[in-house]
Amino acid sequence: MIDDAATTPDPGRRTSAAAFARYVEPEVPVLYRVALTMAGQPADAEDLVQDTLVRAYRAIDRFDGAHPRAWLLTILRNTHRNRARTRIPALLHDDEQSAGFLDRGGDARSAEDIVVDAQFEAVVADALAALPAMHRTVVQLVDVDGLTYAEAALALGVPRGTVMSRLHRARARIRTRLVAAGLVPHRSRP
Amino acid sequence: MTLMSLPEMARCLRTSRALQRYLDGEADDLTAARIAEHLETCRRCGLQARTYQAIKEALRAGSRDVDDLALRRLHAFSRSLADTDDAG
Repeated sequence: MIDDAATTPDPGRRTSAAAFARYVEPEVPVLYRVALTMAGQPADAEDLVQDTLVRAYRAIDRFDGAHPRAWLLTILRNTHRNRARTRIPALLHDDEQSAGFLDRGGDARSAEDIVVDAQFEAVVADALAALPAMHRTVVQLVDVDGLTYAEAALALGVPRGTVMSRLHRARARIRTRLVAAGLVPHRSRP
Repeated sequence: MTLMSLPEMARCLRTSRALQRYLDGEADDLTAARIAEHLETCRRCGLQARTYQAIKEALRAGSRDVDDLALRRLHAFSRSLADTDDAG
């Protein structure tokens, strides 16, 4: 009888590796975007994703294959919380990121349109930077990182309703800034 | 200024409450259909919807560029986890 065990990897491990490749690897870009929002600094975000991947790999045998993104976001949130306990909380320094974005692809818009768009985007960016951190984070997770309400709720460890109310308030504040800047009409008349 | 009827006001109120969910693609089909229909006929709500849609687009346009190198490193790290274990 040939002893395959000496020459072939453990089938259980191969299954884990296959599950990891199938469920986890496609989610790496989303994890990195969310980590950037939560950690603030790119280097911290990369470390956070690496720690998350290690934890996910260790737990992949117990994962049932349903909703991999939700499962990974929960691991990311717990990993972030554990890392945050061991260090001084860092403030989000995203003013530069918010301000330096005017380089957009060219199209057939007029120069005037481009200027108005740039003003609009600049006011939105300023308003985003001025939001309380917990509101800004929700906006970034949903509008920038493209998470659903349920996914953002998992990433933050808050109920879905909290995500919705924070988003609502945050966008209303952004809108108020746009009204003040004269870029959006005050309450329009019916 | 045109006076609104009570049913019109009620429709505007319902739209206003569910507008963000609608724009985020989180409203159920029935709600989404009602809102879409209302937005076609109500100038005020239509403007509100366009404003919030423009805010969403501006936020996306202003999003940071994700560092491709960092992503490549993370993909390589991810593969190395499985490969290391595979090797024994």
